[in-house]
Formats: sequence, structure tokens, C-alpha cells
Amino acid sequence: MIEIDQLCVRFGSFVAVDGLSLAAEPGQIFGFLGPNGAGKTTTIRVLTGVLRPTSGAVRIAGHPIPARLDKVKPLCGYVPDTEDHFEELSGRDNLRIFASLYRLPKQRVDEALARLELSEAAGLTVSRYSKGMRKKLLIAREILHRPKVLFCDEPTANLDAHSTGVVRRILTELREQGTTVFLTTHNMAEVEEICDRVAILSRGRLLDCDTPVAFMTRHAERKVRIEIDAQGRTLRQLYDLDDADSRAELGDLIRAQPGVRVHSLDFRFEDVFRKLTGEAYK
Amino acid sequence: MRLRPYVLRTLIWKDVARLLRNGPALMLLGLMVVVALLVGSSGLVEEEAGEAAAGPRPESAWIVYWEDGPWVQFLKQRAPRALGIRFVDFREVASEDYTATTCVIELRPPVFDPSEQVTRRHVRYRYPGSDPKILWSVTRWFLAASVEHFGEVPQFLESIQPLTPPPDAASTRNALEDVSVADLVSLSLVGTALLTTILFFAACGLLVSLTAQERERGALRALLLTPATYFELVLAKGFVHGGLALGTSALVMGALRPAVLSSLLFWATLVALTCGYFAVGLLISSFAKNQAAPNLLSFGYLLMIGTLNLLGHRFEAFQVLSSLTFERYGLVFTLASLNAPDLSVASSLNVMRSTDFRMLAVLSAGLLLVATFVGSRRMVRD
Repeated sequence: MIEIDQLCVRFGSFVAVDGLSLAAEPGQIFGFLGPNGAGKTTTIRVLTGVLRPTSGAVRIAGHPIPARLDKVKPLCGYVPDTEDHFEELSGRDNLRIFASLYRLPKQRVDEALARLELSEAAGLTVSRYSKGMRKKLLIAREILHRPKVLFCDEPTANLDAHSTGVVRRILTELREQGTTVFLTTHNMAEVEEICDRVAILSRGRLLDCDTPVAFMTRHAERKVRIEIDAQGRTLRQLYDLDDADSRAELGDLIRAQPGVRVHSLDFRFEDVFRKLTGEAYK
Repeated sequence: MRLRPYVLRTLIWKDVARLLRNGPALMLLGLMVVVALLVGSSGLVEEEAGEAAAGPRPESAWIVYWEDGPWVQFLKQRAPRALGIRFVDFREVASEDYTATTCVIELRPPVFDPSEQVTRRHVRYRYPGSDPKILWSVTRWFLAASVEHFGEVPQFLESIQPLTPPPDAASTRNALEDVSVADLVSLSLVGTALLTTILFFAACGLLVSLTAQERERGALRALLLTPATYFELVLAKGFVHGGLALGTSALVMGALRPAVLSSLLFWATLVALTCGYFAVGLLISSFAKNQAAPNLLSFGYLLMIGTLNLLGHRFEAFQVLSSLTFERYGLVFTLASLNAPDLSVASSLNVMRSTDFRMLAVLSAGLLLVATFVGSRRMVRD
């Protein structure tokens, strides 16, 4: 559904995206991760036709961007990281404008408002909305026309736990309907929970691209922490189970000190991300 | 370039809805209409409305000419019977022959104007009694016909004199000091000032403010990611801001000088000026990504145009530059159309064929094309 081939974007001498190649399939939530300034938003701007690439090719549903943007626009939705509503209009009026531009029936507006739990506030002007409500209105707006590709730039930022759950549920529902969700987020728990495939970017370059489980398998570190009470103090020591010497040392210690407490350390996707991006910066 | 009615309708609805929620802007436009109503209900209209007013009116009028050229021939063709105008060669008449109830317009030989370093046609208006307002009905026709003949507002060397001095010398001096040619077209000047303000505010200032707001918030980008195209967006804005400018102008002129609403020259000039100001607004919006910068740029633009035209009036070096501003022609034709509110369609078309009007149309349309092109490059893509 989304194909990026050797994409380069330069702003003068600064290289924002450097030879990026990846592909996202239909019905997939594709996590597009990277530290701040890695080139995620720049890539999305190229994918949405807002920015022209310096070199490389980009295709959505087989149509080259930006040459056939007119074909691609009705297929895509874009939830930006900033709110871009018409503040002086009501939430419902904001959605009506977009529904009308896509020639959608009026009930789609009410459906989208209900789906994002905004029906009660639909008549209020957007300037009175909280940050979370604005974010939800953005998502409601971009799912009105049931896009084949949905670009989401931090869709759960500023949302409370309940609203975050609602948004994640909607994104997974879209995936089940065959929509490709191109998601950038700094919430690694979210990546673990909903992403089917993940690409990690750093300084404009693709570091790795795989499923979250494969990332965890390949990059996870098995470590244990032991705690021993000695001379009125608690001594703490970290052992790497993937290292033979460290493993042998741990065995000896457990045999010598039967009262030792052993804790296995949980290795999360966040640790994989830190490990990869940290290494990239080193 | 695709134009879809449903997209245009939606975008127009969006712009109108946003405008209706812009209280200060609507208040300012409303204020213009109120000013026009106040001016309209003041004595100024009565003195200029001629037939409609119970004011003085000459029994007859003479056009005394020094040279029987094409201008005089044209005036003879256009002279309305109701005014009882008589054309007389200056050799056949002496000042003493003027009757006490006759208005006279003397078309004197051209005079060298040392202040402007040019030779100008010399026109002297002479009125019976002590009230120069009696000249209005004749001068209104005379100015309209002259505009039609020359295809622009002719720059006469003008003076006003009473036919016979009133008995009181002090009151004569006061009358001469109080009255100038500008007094005869004062309503036109008020109208031109109001119209210019309205057109600039509605077609340029408000457009710049609302578009910059959309750009700054990212709403413009959001719209451009829908099936709507940039040209549809601009066209919708053109309809809304142009409609607002022309609608408010119609309200103002309806209060000030209703007769002008049926003048083709008036509407053609207004449309050309609206296009020009809309283009300026679009150009400014293309270069500014936040709201503060475009407002400053709009103000700077007004200052620059004013200064340029002022300098162009005085110094030859600036004349070329000022002749490339559409405002230079637009203001002249606005004034001309207000001075000649009952200009026929044929006469309007005649004026519109003049070089100056063509310059106005070409400059406005050209600027609009350039602004649309620049906007399509700068607003659509970052």
C-alpha cells in the first residue's frame, strides 16, 4: 500500500531523510519510530504530497507521489501532531466541511462524533475544546471518509487513559477493515500493543524494520539482578545471562549464598528502541 | 484545472461561516455603511443631488469656448435639453452679456502650470448670485461628458468666480475662500475614500488575516489534503471576499448616491479594483506564514502605494513606477464614475475603451494571475 524507495530529503546542506526504503502492507499498523528530528514528520509530509522529495520514489496504492496526488488524496487521511481546526466553528461544522468535500452523507458526521465520544460537545465551538477533545476531533475528521491509508502523527499525545484506549481501539478496527495505519508515536507501550510492523529511524536513516516481537527476540537482553544481605547492608549485582562468564559467576554465588534473592529484569520494546537509537547516536 | 460546484459551495460556506463569526471585521464594515448613511442624510447630498433637492438651479447654462475643437463638438452632442445649455464662441459674447440667472463654463485657452511644469486646459466656472452650489447640476454633466470624451478624469486648471460680486466685499472674499472645485465633488471624494477603504479591507486585509490564520494553524494544509484543489480554494475566497467588498460598496453607494448603482463604469471599476486588491492579499498571504507579518505587510503596502503615487505626482522619476500601480487608475475611474452617476451604458463602454481603463484592467488581471501562480507554489507546498 505504501512503498518508499531510496527517499532523500535535503534542506540545503541538512539531510533530513537519507536513502529511506520501506513498504507497508494493506491492513497493517505500521509503527514509524525515531527520536525527535529523526525525519518522521518529513517523511509523512512527503507521503502526503506537502513536500517534494529531493530524490527517490514514493508510491501509495500504486500511484506515484506527488505526480498522481489527485488520485491518492481521496484514499488518505492525515492526523497531524498539531490541531488544525477552524477554531471559530463548532466541532460538527468542522466535520461537515470535510464530509462535504468528500461528498459523504451527513450521518457520517454524527457517526464519527459518536465513535470518538464527542457527540455531546459537537455543538460547541472548537475554541472551547480541551486538547484531548481537539485531538479526538482530528481523528474523527480523518476517518470520516474511511481512508485506505491513515497517517497518524502521535494520535494519543495529550489524551487521558480512557481516550487513549478509544483511539487505539479505533486504529485496530481500521486495521481489521483493511486500512493501513502509518503511525508515529513516542509511546512504546502503544507500539508493543497495536503495531504489526515497526521501522526505527535515526538521523534520517532507517536503522531496522521488523515486527515488534522479532525486535524483542533479536535485541532483548536477559539480565537478572541479585540481592544479598551482608553485614547489615543489601548488596545488588546485575548478571547477563547471555554471557557465559557472568552466568557461571551467578551459579557460584547462588550455590554459596542460598538466601540470595534473584529478580529477572523485564526487557520492553522501549529498551530495544533506546538500545538501537542510542547506538546510532554513539 | 478542475472546478467542482460542490467543492466550491462547501468552501464558500466555510469562508462565510468564518466571516460571520468575525465580529470586529463586520463591525468595521458596518461602520462604513453607517458613515455613508450619515453623510447621505446630511446636507451634502441635498446640495449635490440637483434635481432631487429643493436647492437652487440655474435657468440656463452657457458653455463659452475659445476653440471649437472635438471636445466642444462632443459636449454639444451630449448636452441634455433639461439643462438648457447654449454653446457660444467667446468672440460673440462679453461678460456683461451673461444674465443674472445663467451658469457659465468658460473653456479658456490652455495655460502653462508652473507648479506642475505642464500645459493644462483652463476651465472657469461662473455662477449667478452668491451661492456657487447652483453650478452643481451643470458641472456634474460637464465633468461626466469630459470624462467620457477624454477616457479619463481630465486634469483641468480650474477656478470659480461669481458673475457679479455681491454687495458685501467681505462675504465675497469668504465665498471665494470657502469654495473650491473640490467642494463640487466632495460627495464623490467621500464616496471614493469610503469605497477604497472598503475594497482594501474586505478584499485584501480581511483575506490576508483569515488566510494567514488558516496557514498558521495548518487548516489550509488540511483542506489541501482533501479532494479540494488550490484553485478551488482561491476561487471560493474570491467569491466571498469579492462579494463582501462589492456588496458593502453597493450598500454604501446606495446610501450616498443611489444613481451610480446603475452605472456600468462604476461596477467595472469596482470589479477591477477588487481583483487588484484580492491579488495583493493573495500575494501577501503567500509570503507570510503567521498572522502578524501579513498585517504589517498590508499596512506597508498601503503606505508604499500612497507614497509612490504622491511622488509620482511630483517627480517624473516616480511617474513610471506609479503608472504601474492599478490604484492610480482605479481611484481616478471611481471618482469619475461617482462624478457621472447617470452615465449611459454606451458612454461607459466608451470610457472603458480608453487606454487608462485598459491599463487598470490589465494591471489588475495580471497581478491576479501572478498572485495565483505564486500562491500555488508557496501555499500548497512547504
